[in-house]
Amino acid sequence: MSALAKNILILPRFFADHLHMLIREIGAMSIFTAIGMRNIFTGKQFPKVLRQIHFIGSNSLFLIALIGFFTGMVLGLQGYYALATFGSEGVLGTLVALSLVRELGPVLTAIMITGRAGSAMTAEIGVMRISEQLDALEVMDINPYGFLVSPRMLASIVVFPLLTSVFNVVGILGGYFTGVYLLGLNGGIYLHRVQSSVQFDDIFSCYVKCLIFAVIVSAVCCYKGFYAHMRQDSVGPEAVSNATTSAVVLSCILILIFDYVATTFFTV
Amino acid sequence: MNNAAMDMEPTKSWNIRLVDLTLGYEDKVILDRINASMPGGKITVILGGSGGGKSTLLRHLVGLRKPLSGKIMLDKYDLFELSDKSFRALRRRMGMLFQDGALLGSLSLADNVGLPLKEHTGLSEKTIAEVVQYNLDLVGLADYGDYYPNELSGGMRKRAGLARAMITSPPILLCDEPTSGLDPINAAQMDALLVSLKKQNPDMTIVVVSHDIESLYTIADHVMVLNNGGIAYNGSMEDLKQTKDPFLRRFLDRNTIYEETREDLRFAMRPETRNKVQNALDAWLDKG
Repeated sequence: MSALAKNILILPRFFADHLHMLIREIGAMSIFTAIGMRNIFTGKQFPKVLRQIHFIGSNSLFLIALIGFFTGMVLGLQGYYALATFGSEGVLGTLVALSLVRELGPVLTAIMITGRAGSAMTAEIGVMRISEQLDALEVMDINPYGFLVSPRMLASIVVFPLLTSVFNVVGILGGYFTGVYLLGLNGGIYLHRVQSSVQFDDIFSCYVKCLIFAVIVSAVCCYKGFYAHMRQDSVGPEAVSNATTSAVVLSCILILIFDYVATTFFTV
Repeated sequence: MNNAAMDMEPTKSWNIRLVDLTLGYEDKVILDRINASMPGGKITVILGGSGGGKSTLLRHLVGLRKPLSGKIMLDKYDLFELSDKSFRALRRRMGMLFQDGALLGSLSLADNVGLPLKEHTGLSEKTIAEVVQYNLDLVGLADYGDYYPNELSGGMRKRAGLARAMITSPPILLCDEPTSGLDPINAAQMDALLVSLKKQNPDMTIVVVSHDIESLYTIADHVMVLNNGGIAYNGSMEDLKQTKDPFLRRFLDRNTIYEETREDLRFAMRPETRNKVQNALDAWLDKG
C-alpha cells in the first residue's frame, strides 16, 4: 500500500477504531448494569444499602440544599427582571417552580451527586481493584457485584428522588427569598403560582428522570472503578485517577443526553 | 462429577497436579507446558525469581485466571472443566492470603476476618465474634479487632489476611509471598504461624509462593522451583538440600548469584554521565 493511501486511511481507521471501542464499552456497561440490578435482591444487602444511603444521601444533603437555594435565588433574580420587561413579574413562581421541577432539579442534583459521591464510588472500587481486594472477595466466594455494585445502585435509586425533592423545595424557597424579600413581590402570589402551575405530569417526569440518572450515575461510576485495572492509558493509582475523571465526565454527559431524551418523551 | 466436589470429606488432603499447563497474559506466555504435583497434606513452597510466574501460578490455582492451555487438577477434578456451581463449591475449600493481605479498607479487622462467615452463614453476630476473636488470637492480633487496615503494619495486615483465609477452615491454603517486605522477626513469626497452622491441621494442603530462602528451610516439605518458563525442580525439601544442580545451588546460596551478577554487568556508565549525575546530586544536597 502506498504512503498516500495509508495517510488517506488514517482518519477513517481512527473513527472506526473509536466507534468499535464505543460500541464495546456500551455493551460492557449495559451488561454490567444488568448484573448489578439483578444482584440487588440477593444476599444480605440491607446494611450495605443503608450505609450507602448514608454516604450518598445524608452526606450530600447540605451540599444539595445549598446549591438548590442559590439556584432558586439566581432563577428568581434573572426571572424577575426578564418577566418585568413584559410586566409579568407575578408569574415568577411559575417560572422558578417549573424550571426546577422539570429540568434543573433532577439534572443539577444528579451532577452534584456525581461530583461528590459518584467520584468516590469509582475511586473506592478502583483502589479495591488494584489492591487485590476484589480478587479477595471472589476467592471468599463473595459476589463483588452483589457486595459492591448493587447496594450502591439501590441506594442511588432511593436517594436521587429524595435529594431532588430537597433541591426543588429549597430552590423554590430561594426564588421566594429573592422575589419576595429582595425584590418586593407579593409572597402569596408567588406561592399561589407555584402551587397552581406544577402539575402531576411535571412531578412524574421529574422522578422518572431521577431514577434514570440514579441508574446511570451509579452504574457508570461503579463500572469505571471495577475495570480501572483494564484501562489502556494508565496503570495503578494513575488508572484509578483517570477512571474517576472519566466516570464523572461520562456521567455528566449521559445525564444531559438522557435528560433531553426524557424531556422529549414527556413533552411531545 | 459436577456435584461431587460438594460431597468431599472436609478432612481430606487435596493433591494438586499441573498437567501440561501453560499460563500467561493474552499473547505473553509465562509458564509453558509445565507438569508438576503438590502433595496433599504438605507445605509446598513455590520458588523462583521475580517475574518468574509464581504469583501468576497461584492466581490460576485459585481460579482467578484461566490457563492458556492444560489442566489444574485438584485430586481428580479439573478446576476449569467444572460447572460454575461445582467450581465455586471447590473454591470454597480454598483460602488465600494475598501479598498485602487484601483486607477491605472500609471494614475493621474483626469485620474483615468475619466477612466470609457473615456473608455465607446464618450464624449469629455473637458466634461470629467469638470465632473471629479466636482466629485473631491465633495470629497474635487479639487486641486489634477494632483497628482498620490502614492503622496496621504490613506484617499485621498479612497476619490478619491469614486469619481471614483460615476462618472457614479450608483444606487448601494458598499464600502469596507471606514474608515479603517483613523484617526478620515478623518474617520468622509468619513462618512459625504457618508451621503451627499445619500442625493443628495435618490434612491441610498449603502452597506458599516465596523467594525467601530462610522461609523455605523453615516451612517447606515440598518445593517447586520455577525458571525460564519451566520447572527447574519439583520434589522434596530433603532432596533439594542435597542437589548439585548449578542453578538450584545458585538459588539456595544467594551470594553466588550476587557475585556473578556484578561481574556480568553488560552496561557501563560513561564517566561524563557519572560526573554529570554526581554534580547534579551534589548541587541538590547543598541546596539551601
